[in-house]
Amino acid sequence: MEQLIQLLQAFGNIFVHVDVWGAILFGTVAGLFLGAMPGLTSTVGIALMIPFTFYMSPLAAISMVYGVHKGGTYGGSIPAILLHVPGTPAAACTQIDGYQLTKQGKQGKALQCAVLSSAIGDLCSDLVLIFFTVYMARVALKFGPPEFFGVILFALTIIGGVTGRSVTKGLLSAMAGLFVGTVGLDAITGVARFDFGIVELTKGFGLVPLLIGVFCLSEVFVQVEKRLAKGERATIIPPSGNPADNRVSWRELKGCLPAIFRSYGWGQLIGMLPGMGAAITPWIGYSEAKRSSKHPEKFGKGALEGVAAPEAANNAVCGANLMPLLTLGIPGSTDAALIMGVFLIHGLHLGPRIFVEYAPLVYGIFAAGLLAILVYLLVGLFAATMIGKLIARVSKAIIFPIVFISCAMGAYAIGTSLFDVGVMVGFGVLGYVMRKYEFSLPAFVIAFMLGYRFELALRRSLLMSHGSPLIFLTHPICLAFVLLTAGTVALRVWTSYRRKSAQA
Amino acid sequence: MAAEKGISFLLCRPHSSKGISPITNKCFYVGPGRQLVKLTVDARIGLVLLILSLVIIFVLIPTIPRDVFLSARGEVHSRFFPMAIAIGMMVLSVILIIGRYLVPRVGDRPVSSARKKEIIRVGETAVLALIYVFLMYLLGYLIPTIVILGLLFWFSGERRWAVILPTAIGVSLAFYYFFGRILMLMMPRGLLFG
Repeated sequence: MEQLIQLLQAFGNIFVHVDVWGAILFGTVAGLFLGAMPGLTSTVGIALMIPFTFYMSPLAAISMVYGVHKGGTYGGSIPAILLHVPGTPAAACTQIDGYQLTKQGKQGKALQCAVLSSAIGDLCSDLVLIFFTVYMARVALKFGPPEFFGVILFALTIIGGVTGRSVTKGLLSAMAGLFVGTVGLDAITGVARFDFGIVELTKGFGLVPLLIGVFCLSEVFVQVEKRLAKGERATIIPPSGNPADNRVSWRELKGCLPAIFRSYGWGQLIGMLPGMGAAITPWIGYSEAKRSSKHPEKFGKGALEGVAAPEAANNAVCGANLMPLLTLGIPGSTDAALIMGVFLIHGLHLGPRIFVEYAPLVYGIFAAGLLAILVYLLVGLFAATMIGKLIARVSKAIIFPIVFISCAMGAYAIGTSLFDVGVMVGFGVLGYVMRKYEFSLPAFVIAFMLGYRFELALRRSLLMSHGSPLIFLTHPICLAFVLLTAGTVALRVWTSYRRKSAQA
Repeated sequence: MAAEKGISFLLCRPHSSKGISPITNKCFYVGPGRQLVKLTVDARIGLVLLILSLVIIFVLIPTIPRDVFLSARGEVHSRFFPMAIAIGMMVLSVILIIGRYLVPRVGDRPVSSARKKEIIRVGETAVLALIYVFLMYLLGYLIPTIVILGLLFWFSGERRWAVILPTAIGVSLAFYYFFGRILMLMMPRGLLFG
């Protein structure tokens, strides 16, 4: 009840602030376009927009990037269905049945099904976020340094262990992120580390140049390479003349609802875990929908459930991702890490106290999330085909150089320093190399962002115990997370060994 | 004997009898009559990271001043956390190098599928980006942005000058207006133009 009152007040607050609802509208539509553009994910969009959020109010800034996150996650399905090219990795699963429907002239039906499923999954996930997160935060309020050490250790291990093809490379990425995070002044003693006498490095590497470099510039490099590898242009298959083929009937939607809710459940569960973002949930949702369908033979040949399940699953991650972010300050995905960056730019420290200190802001973000769903639902229902046609006409040869200049200016804007632009280029190259050799970018970035708090928790815990590491085994919550960490690594290594044994 | 066995463990795996070589370019002859030995891409990356972590441990970490405080109270000094990370990296690098010997072999492909030409083009773009930063430092925002944007359009496959020129100039001016006039940012003016 308390949450409902706060939410209604937040809606009232948003509607009297033009900048906030303008930011939601702009963010969601921009995210939708960026998600729909192959190669430009919502992650790239948020990273590019972060410098501008500096000039906005905290609520408008966070609402805008949250809108980009939601719009972008849905937007990836448009080219997946129309062009057989997923706009985002999360939409790769949607294209299996979505494009089959397009080949049958039923793209209108597929697009409507995608947006409705996305909105239902997203809405359910947001409702859980709004009504249950506060209870998680109350538990987290009892955490001290050893507990936070355990939680962050577990989060980094999960992120490192599951976000790439190799556990070792994932963990190495996390280690590299932690190491880069140590550059600058020591959090406790104030001693300068690895600054090599460069004044700009005493504060450490800037978050914004690093994010833009790793996510956006490296994407530009990847596209430069792809452009050379294959320069084909997309074509759109014309829709069928039958109006029934271009809309989803209530009966069809009702038939998809079990798959949608099952997928939502998986999205919610996986989205709450750090590191396991929207990329794998659609596949789980799809395989579960196929397993429990009365007509599994139709999957892969244009089954509507094959579109509904992955779309509900990937958008269900959006709200769920914010639960560990708001309560523990641990981002569940790269988009959540970028949203965390916006909080940090505005001097807002994430963690359980945010519900005490900034409750109106938090509920404002929740309300913004609901409005963003409404925005992309309306745009998706009425303009998805048009967006698809527009995307098919855009030349990558023009777009990506402009993205490059946006990266440079974004990195410059945050501190009006060309040093930051150089840092951005350096991290762009590093991000590209990491992608090429299948290291995990999310693990690197999230470890960089959590490194400061991780070190602080570790050293404060040791201070509390007069240097004894046994403190991590005598605090039950911390011990639970340490055991979970060890168990996760052992399980991942074992499954990897078994898989390779089976293949050999 | 043990050392020799160790070397052969790291370097001397015989080729797959199916003819699918999981390994890439470079070869190491260990001695007469021994197998031709090659390192996987992962092993080479592991080697680079191992060297990097050793550099961190023995060269970079000693540059951190030793804190005067407070080990008696359980305070760990400023070198502790970077050292722990570097040791972790070292261990993981070793696992990356020998990892494929710990699990059954599957005929893993080389990780990078990029062709040489594409890699060179990406390298050129990265160098161009650094030149852009340097030129902005010397000449300010506008001229380098127009030039670099034009070059990037060309690199990306656009060959029509009628598209390249107006787009490069228009986009550069639009960015200048947005950042310099609307956001009121001090745009780079360039060392030469003061």
